[in-house]
Amino acid sequence: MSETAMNESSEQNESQARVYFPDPLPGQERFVAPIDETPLREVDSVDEDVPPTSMWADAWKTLRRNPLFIISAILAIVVILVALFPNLFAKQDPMACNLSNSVEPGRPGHPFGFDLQGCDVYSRVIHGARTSVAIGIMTTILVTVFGGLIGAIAGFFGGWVDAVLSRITDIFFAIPMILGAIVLLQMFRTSTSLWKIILTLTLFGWVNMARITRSAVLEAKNLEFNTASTALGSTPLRNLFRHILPNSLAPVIVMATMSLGTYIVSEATLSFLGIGLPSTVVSWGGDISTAQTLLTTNPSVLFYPSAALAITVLAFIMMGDAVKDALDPKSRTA
Amino acid sequence: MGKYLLRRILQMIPVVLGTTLLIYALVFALPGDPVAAMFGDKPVNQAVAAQIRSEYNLDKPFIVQYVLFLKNALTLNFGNTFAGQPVISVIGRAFPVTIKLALMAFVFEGIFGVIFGIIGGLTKGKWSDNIILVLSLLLISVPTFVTGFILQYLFGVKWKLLPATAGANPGFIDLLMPAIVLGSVSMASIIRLTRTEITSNISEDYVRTARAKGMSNRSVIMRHVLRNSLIPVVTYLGADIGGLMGGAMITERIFNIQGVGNTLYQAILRGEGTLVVSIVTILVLIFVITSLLVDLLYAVLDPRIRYA
Amino acid sequence: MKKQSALTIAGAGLCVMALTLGACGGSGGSDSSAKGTDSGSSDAVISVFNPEPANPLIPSMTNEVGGGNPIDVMFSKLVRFDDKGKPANEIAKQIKANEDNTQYTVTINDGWKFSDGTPVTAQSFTKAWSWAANIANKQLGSSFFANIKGYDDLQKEGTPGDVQLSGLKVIDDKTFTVDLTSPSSTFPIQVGYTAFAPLPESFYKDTKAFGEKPVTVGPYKFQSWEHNKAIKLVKDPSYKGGIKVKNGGIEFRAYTDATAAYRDVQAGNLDVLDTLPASARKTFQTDNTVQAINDPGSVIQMFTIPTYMKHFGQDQEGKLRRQAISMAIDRPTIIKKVLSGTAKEVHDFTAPVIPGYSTSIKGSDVLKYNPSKAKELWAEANKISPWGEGDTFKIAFNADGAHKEIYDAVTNSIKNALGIQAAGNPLPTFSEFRSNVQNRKFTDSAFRSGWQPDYPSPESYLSSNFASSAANGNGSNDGDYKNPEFDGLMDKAASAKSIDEANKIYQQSEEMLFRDLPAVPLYYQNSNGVAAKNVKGFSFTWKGTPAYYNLSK
Repeated sequence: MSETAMNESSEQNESQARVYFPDPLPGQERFVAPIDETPLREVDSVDEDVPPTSMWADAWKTLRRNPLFIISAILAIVVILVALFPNLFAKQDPMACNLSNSVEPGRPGHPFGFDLQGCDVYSRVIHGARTSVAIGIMTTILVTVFGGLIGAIAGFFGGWVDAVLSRITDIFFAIPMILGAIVLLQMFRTSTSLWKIILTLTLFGWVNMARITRSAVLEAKNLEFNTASTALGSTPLRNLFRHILPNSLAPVIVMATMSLGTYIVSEATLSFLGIGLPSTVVSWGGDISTAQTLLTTNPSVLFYPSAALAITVLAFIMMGDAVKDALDPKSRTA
Repeated sequence: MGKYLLRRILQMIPVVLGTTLLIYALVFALPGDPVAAMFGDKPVNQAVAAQIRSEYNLDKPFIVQYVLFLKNALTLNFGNTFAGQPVISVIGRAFPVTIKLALMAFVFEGIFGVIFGIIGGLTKGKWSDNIILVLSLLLISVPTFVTGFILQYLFGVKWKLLPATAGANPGFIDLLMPAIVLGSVSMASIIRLTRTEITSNISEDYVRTARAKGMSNRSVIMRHVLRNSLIPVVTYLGADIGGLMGGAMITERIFNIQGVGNTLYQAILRGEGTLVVSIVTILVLIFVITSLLVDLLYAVLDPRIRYA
Repeated sequence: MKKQSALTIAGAGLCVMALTLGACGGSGGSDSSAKGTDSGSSDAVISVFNPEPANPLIPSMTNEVGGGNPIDVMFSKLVRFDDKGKPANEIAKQIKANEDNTQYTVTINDGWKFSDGTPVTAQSFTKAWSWAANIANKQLGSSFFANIKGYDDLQKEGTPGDVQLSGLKVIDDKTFTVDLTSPSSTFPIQVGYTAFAPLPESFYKDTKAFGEKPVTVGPYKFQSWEHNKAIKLVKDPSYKGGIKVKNGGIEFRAYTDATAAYRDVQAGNLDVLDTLPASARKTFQTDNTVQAINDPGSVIQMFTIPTYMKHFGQDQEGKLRRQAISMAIDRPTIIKKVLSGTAKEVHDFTAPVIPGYSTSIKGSDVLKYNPSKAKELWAEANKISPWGEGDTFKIAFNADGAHKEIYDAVTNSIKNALGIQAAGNPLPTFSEFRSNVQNRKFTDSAFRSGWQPDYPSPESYLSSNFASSAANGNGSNDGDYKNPEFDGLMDKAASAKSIDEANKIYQQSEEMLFRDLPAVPLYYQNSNGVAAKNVKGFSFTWKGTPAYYNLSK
């Protein structure tokens, strides 16, 4: 429950107010109008049998009515469907490449044309979704949970906890990702390459999230509702999870949805540096990186995977915006 | 305050120790034998290789190598690179140009990021907001190496408006394009962060109060909304300045800037432990100092945050 | 002896191991073809692409182009090679062999002086060679002197740095003798390598300072080296050799990426680029902002299938599989589509510019694309020992070079023709790739191997790569191919009376290689690059480096 709701309830809800404001003692003056003077209106009545609506339920209510959310959610669902069932969308095998088709333009059955190796670009874009979306979503989840938690703890507890965690963050900030990536790639040679990439990106992505969360928590910690909640006997930990974290979510959600795109792009960068996924795995990042040499001659080969990536990023950013707005009662522009 | 500062400065010691140890371990764990690679594709003369290994202490156990490095570093002796140059002079050459580049990128992303973010936040849902959304989207979803190559080709070769590469002694004009490319990715994040903070702060009670008091829209935004919106933005910017310096590998490669990123990348590929550790240690110091500055800025931006 | 590596830059260019003195031919070249309105000025300074040297500028320490290119034009040696690779005496007046080619007497010309004014004497050579061979001085090029008597004594740890090679004897100021451990008819050519350059007395006083600011003896002298920026050389007017220098100096600009250099040539900021980036392959010849060269070169690209790889031993099964793999590769299409014509179709194990090159060696039809025959041979091999359902044919390469496109195409072709799984096997760094090769770790993967010769003879390609004496880590026979019959032909060719006779024997030995395919040839890499429009005299030597001295503008 957010702080505005709480303040209002103490003033307007007579049944609760009665607990705090018993009948005046002799000599005291009444500072709240007696109930018979301002009768409760219908809208203000509270059904005490119904549990209070949660922040999430509230958010969902708002979201359902937000066209931005609906559009972006549909987009995201399509992207996820493509990622889960690529065969429904493309019949061609993305690995079936014939050099005689190299950089041929589109033709019936091959709407996007062919890349340098003569692979069907359309089917590579469709099949690449799984890898790229998996990298984006998994890394974002891991980074948000891990980085968010560390940042929240550091910001909330302060003192030596903050010092230790923040300095660890500093150390990780400075490690060049490529160095870590080469070492990780070699350490986990046997495991699936996709997880190695996710692990690498997480290991070097959480620090940013930790710092952002820490700063948001620092900011929220000092807001009035926190003091109020403490005064009402709430434990610090309960404060953190019930009040501070939900109120720090806005920048975290924005960062997370933004990063989702950057992680997918990072895979392209790793490929560009020669430490990305092997050719046996189809991914947007890998295809963007290989198409880079065709930039001036056959830009369309570069365009399609980039466009797929942009649409995915757009979907998640817009969704993130809508969710953030819905969670934050203040920014509701109703 | 003084005590707080002192504490933070003392904290740098374990951070530097931790970083150097971690980086040294990572370089040690790098696959391949750097000395054998010096012979290229040629058969390795094992006797010479053994001599070179002992010159660079590569024949010793990991922890001994690390302690020796620390011991020498204390006397500011960082050893030589495989190319026979003092590490310190390599660093001395790489940092100035990168600092210039990073600062330019920083100013670029800071100014334009915040301005676009404010415009987006104040005109939420309108066309200007949407254009800015698309812009930041583009910046995120196109990798640096693609943006870099496109800009370099268009501005440097086709229209000849800016130098195609930075050249040997780059000045402001030479670094303009690299700085824009380097700063553009972070700029997208800053735009989104600023916009978010503005939209959520603009409906805060104090804004209503200020408006009710008859304050002009402009000063409400400048004095209250912006100031309160900047904390996460400043955090991001603060963290980014170190990232801009160490993470410019690709930009520096595209524009042939012989700076920190390029040097670091080459050193990693060659497995040059001392050079990598020395560069990263400096980067860590920069991170620690900027994070201290950011924490101090919090107190300026939000008087409720106090440091004992 | 060196293979081509690619620690550096995109473009799969002429990389690390360019030790020979290719850049010192006679004048001439294609100068006459370049016409301009104004005649080239003889004191113009030409800027050229160059990776930052990986080592100090000491001849015997240099084994990559970054240092090799400037050193080659700063140091004359006993002999030099012209643009076609023909050796001629430079500092040497005469190099005379004894009867069985085990002792050489070297006489040097009068009047040669180092750039510090001291004369070039017999000692300038003997001391320099001994110093380089001595283990105490940790020279990467030390093994170049392995055939000189006394080399082994200098390889013991604890040897003082100034102990001399016992096989070198100074007779007088202008004469010295060289005793070899085994007969060698190529010694008079070997001394044209970078590592055999003479060094002045001042070198031994402070080798470190010399490495930063060398005292030279060649067509160019050293002016300055700003690290990671440029090495500047100026024409040396006191140069006595046979090269006619047509410019006032060369500025070797430091680049880490060939694409950036290409953009600079286009924009007019750089004069010459000799390493073509992959992104320019399709366009450089039609690009009207630059002048392009795309000539046959001396580099051959192959991949080695090591004899210790499963299913590919030196037996009937291995032989069948090797031939099947080779016939499954559609080379002409790969050259056309992926390499955009920057390579020539492969016919033997040498290269088109090499005397002894032949397009009609018996057995070379395994290089022809023949998917049905390939399938047949593969099925036959499967009868001997079945290829597993989940087995993949892998080719390893270092991912920090630009090899991915090519090996993707090669493995796709194999996959399509044979119906088996095939994939590239990228290793992040050159260093990791080489360690795996050196430690014989590729037991389930073939690996890329390119070759740039030291001198224009089939011998440099064949015996270094495939002779038993070069196997097991003693040379560049990284696949450990051993064939006594082939070794016999190598020995026979070395003692042949004439070059033509030797080359015939070499071609005979290649028939053997086509049967066993210790490595699968892919293509001959062209010597290619671009120069700014106003540059004149842009041409490549046989070795693939620009003829620097011919450039003018």
